[in-house]
Amino acid sequence: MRDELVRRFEDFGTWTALFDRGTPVTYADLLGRIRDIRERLARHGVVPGQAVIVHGDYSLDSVATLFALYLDRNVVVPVVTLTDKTLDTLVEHCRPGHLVRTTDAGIEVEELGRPDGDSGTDLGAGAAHGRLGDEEAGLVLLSSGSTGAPKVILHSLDALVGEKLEKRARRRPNALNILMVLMFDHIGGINSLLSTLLVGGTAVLPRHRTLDEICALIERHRILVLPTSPTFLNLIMVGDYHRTYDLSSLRLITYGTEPMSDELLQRVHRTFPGVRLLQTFGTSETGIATTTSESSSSTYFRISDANVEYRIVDGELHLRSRTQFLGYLNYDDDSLTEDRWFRTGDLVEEGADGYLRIKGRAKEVINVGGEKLLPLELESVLLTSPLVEDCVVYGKPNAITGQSVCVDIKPRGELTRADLRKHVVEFLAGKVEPFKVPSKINMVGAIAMSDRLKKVRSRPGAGGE
Amino acid sequence: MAERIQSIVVAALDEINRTREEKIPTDNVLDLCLYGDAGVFESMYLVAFLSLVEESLEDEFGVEVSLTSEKAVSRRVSPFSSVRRLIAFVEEELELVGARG
Repeated sequence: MRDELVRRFEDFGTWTALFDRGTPVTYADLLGRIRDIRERLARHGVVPGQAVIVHGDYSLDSVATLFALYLDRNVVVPVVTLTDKTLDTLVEHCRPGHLVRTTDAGIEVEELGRPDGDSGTDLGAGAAHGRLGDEEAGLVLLSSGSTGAPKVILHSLDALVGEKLEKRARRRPNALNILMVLMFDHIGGINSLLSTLLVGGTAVLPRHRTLDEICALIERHRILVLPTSPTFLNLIMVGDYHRTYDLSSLRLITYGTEPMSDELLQRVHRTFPGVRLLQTFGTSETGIATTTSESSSSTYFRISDANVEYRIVDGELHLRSRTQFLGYLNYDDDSLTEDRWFRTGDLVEEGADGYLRIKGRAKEVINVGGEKLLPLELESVLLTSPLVEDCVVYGKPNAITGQSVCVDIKPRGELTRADLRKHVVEFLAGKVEPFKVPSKINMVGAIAMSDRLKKVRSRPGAGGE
Repeated sequence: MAERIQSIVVAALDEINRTREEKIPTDNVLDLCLYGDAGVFESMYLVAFLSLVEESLEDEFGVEVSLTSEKAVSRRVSPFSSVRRLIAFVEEELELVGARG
């Protein structure tokens, strides 16, 4: 399989693999860089099987390091933002031997110290211990939960690469070019990168992921495929970026990482009429599944991936895939059933012909004295108000009803908080059940988006992720 | 301070009355029972009403107080048994956080 990957890159030769800071990099250049980095890592004493942290966002160097470590059967730990806490978690549970920093000036390899008496190079003692075969390269991803230590998720990189190699290589250059909007240390980002490079496509690497930069890159590189999130699409339309920049090259917009509301999808569909809109579905644990949307204007989708099985238990989606994670390095596998179904935590509704619709996260359910509500359903209604530009609904604990419904709204136009509250209460009357009317309505200047392109839904003391 | 708090409470009741068919009487407001057997609110509406009061208190006194906390709920004499007791509870809470009177 490693030979097959190298052979493909050799065959693609002069085709463009990457645009890094606007500079085209051919597959031959990429292979050359992979070779250099493998030599460099060997000189620093990196041995097969060892875990290596790759710190940095997408660049020629980070991509080449990822493949170098794959070829050398290492465990790759990509991390875009490396805090002390993250490093501590990784040192404890992955026992990485080295840290590779990718900077503008090239790569820096740093040997990581070990606690006294610890000479082992094997991974942590969590549930996934021993699950990675001797000849297999691994991939470690961190869950982005903001409470508690992040979950350290172990994948077989061989399984992920192997699945992509089953797809036939493209026959001509420039057949597929894609903007890497999702992050380098995100399952969706890794998936996009492998899907593109292993078939000879071109990955355009952004630097800052600002809306301006993303839209300028789409215009400059005539991007065909844009993997993104509902929140990001809303920001493009709200800021009129689709009028400022020429986005007419887009043929496919995939959206995932958070649920899409019907209202927003209709707006995207109207704004980008000729573009196919496809929901992607995946988790850090089970990888990204190929899906078919019922239509570009429907939030219903079907999992049409031979590698992925699904079932619905008590409204929650369970997945089992050939490329799913091997386990956590620092947690019990309590999200896996005995027969290895992964409980996604996503609440879904099954429509006709096996089409599914995501209703929200189980842990985002707001329970008002026993009556339950998912943020998305209320956000969808609020977004149809002409005075609401964007909003985020969340629960806030109280000692009377357990939780109450709160909403932060970015209004359209000048309004006072009292006017906005009055409008919302009147607007929702008759549209939703009374318990869903927010008891607290805040007016905000912007709805925060995380670096995973998701709406930030958690509030201090509000519980949840 | 009690008067300012009372006018905030009355304003919140007025606002709620605007969208309510069965109006809450505000003529003898200090003795109005908010929650319980003789209360005018169900729990959910009580929370909405208290949120309105909290918001106005924040605007008026520049501090955040919680009227739906364990502390409020676990009082032997409930601050929701009358507007008078609610005002007294708010006064105590404001003093605790050193609000500008």
